[in-house]
Amino acid sequence: MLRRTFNMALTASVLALAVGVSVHAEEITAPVSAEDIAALGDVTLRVWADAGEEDMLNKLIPRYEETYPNVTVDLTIKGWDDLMGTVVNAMNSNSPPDVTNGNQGFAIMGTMVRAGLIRPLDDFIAVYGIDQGVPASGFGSMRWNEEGTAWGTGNIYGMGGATQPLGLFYNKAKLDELGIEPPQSIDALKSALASAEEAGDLPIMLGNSEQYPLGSHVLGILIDMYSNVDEINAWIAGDDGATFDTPGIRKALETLQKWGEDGYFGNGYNGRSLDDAVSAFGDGEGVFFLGGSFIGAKLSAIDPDGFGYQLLKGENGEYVTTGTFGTPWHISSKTKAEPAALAFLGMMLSDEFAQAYADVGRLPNADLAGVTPIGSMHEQQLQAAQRLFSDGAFVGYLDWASPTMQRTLGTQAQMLLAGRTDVDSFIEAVQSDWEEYQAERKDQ
Amino acid sequence: MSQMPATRGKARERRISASAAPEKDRLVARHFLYLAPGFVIYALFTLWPIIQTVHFSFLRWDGITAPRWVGMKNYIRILTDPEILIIFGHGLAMIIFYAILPVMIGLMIVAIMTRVRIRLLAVFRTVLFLPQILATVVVAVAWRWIYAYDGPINAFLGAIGLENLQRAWLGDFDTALVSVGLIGTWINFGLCMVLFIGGAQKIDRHLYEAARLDGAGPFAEFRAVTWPGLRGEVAIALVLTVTNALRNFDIVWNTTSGGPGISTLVPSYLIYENAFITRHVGRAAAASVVLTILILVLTTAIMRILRKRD
Repeated sequence: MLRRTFNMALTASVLALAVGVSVHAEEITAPVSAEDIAALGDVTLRVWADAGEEDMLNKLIPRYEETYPNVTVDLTIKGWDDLMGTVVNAMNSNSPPDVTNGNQGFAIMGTMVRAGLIRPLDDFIAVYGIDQGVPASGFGSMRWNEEGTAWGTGNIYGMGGATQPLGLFYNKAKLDELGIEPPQSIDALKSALASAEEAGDLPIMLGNSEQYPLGSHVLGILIDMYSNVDEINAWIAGDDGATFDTPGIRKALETLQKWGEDGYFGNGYNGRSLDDAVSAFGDGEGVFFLGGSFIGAKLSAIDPDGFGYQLLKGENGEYVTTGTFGTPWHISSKTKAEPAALAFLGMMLSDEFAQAYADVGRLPNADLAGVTPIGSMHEQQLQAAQRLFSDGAFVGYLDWASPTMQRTLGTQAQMLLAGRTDVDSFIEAVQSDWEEYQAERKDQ
Repeated sequence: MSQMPATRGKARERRISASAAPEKDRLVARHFLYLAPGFVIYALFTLWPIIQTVHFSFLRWDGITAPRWVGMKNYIRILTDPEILIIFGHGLAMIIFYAILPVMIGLMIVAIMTRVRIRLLAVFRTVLFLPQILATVVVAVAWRWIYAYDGPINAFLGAIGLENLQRAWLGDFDTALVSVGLIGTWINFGLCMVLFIGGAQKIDRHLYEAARLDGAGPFAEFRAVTWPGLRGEVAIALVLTVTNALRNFDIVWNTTSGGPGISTLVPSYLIYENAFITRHVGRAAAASVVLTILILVLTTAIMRILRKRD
């Protein structure tokens, strides 16, 4: 009885949802005009965003509200974990945000696509020319099949504003002291780390108290160095027969293990938060920092010219790294202010607004080559991103592979460095997480 | 009952029986009416969610799209997955730090106070109670600093020549669980102490005098007078702190996120991750049900044991 009531309620809400979707599924054929938006009357555009977007939004919102005076933007800023824990339920509610940040992968974007909570953006991207000047492969993680069970092909459901390649940050003064050139390849990095260690410096600054970024970013960069890009992407996407047990991944894990044994990460990194590590690196502790370009904005704020940024060449001699178009933006399929929402993203992702991203130390997808950097490190980051856009391929983040992968990788990486697991068991644990999820996914 | 009354006594009896029954019924109905607002709120916000949780625990559900009935699968997973069993084990280990240690410390303080008159008792009591009312985020941030690699504990160890013991206390596989647990001890002993001081003040002073006249030392006095007088308070303190221990989430969340490895993962954290991050609502609900049963069993046992010899 209870179950029936519950199922009826559920059916009703699914039906309501389907109706909601069909009402707003109109495609646009031209950019939203000022008249379209004026016709909405006085409206509020509710926006949920990750804290990393705050500086950018502080520039965007006044500009937007000036252009469309009848729209008031109601902004909610959330920390990453908070956003990830609440966004899907919020989008599923009766009063969802009109525009929101989400995340790639099955747990967030996949669920929202499956439930029809977000609007396909293919028409918007074509009409606003968002796909001009950016590599088509970058949209891979934004494309989903209609069931929301597989990504890589299908409609585009999200788009980010600034690319976030993982890379190598270095302290320029320390490299000068050590008399070494910024490493361009994994082999050069290895010998640079050895020199730093010999000279008594901390080779790599790491803050991993949240089980992140050791198992995701640091290991991700190493896997990129030794692997076939397509193989890794196939594994992340959950393709049949893909495996984590490849010679490249083995080599990456062995390297990580050796770095741990050699003390390259120093002491107490599992008790230090990522934020504290970035601050400490900014204060001159540590020679290198492996992480996402988003860390660059924080370092630029400390000293725009004191640090350098470099992509690394893998074993095959090509620059390769994990990266995307950044944290995706979505439009609710239930929004009652769709023109205003489209115009909001249209302005945010436009060439005209790109400089505003650059001014807060970020790497806009739009007009990447045209923006003026805020310092020498930012310039290096922009160049690296351009290189990646022109001839690199995007490797996905490993934790997209399954909803539990972030935890599995984070746990296993800590255990590997503490000598509590070995490479074989590491691979086995990760692959079994992956296989369990693939079975679950097929069964959806 | 339409017969005429035969005697006065019978008449009175009849009056009572004729009027009392409906009067009683009316009263009962009205009683329930008074209970209704409270019950509606309780049912809506407590009973219904519990029923829903039990229902969810038999589903495979991402919280959004259509769920599917999976029977006992979620429960079987909890009882057979070694990692989940370890996580529940951590929850039980937390009882030592959140309940047993604080109660022991609280009892010790009270035992001392019954022998020694402490000046500025109110100040002393307030200061020791303070951790209980601080926001746990503040507590966690403070302890993160205390436990940090360059924090005061390691500085002290360095100063006395024990550099080889220095470590990131919350980031070390061997010490993380104990370190997190001791934060709980620090938070909870103030509560126990205040409960016990209140209880001890109710104990008749003459009992202490009698005990001392009989030549009881501090231990005998505690065993014969203080402990029996505090049984009820100890039971309440244990029920509160054991519940606290098993649903511990915020301290772990703000200090270790369950790491390193899974060494500080606790059931509440598992529930949160399943419900909101990996979107396995059915598994989260099943774990909640198991945790609730565990708390009920333990608290019932505590009440039973401590009430027995009254």
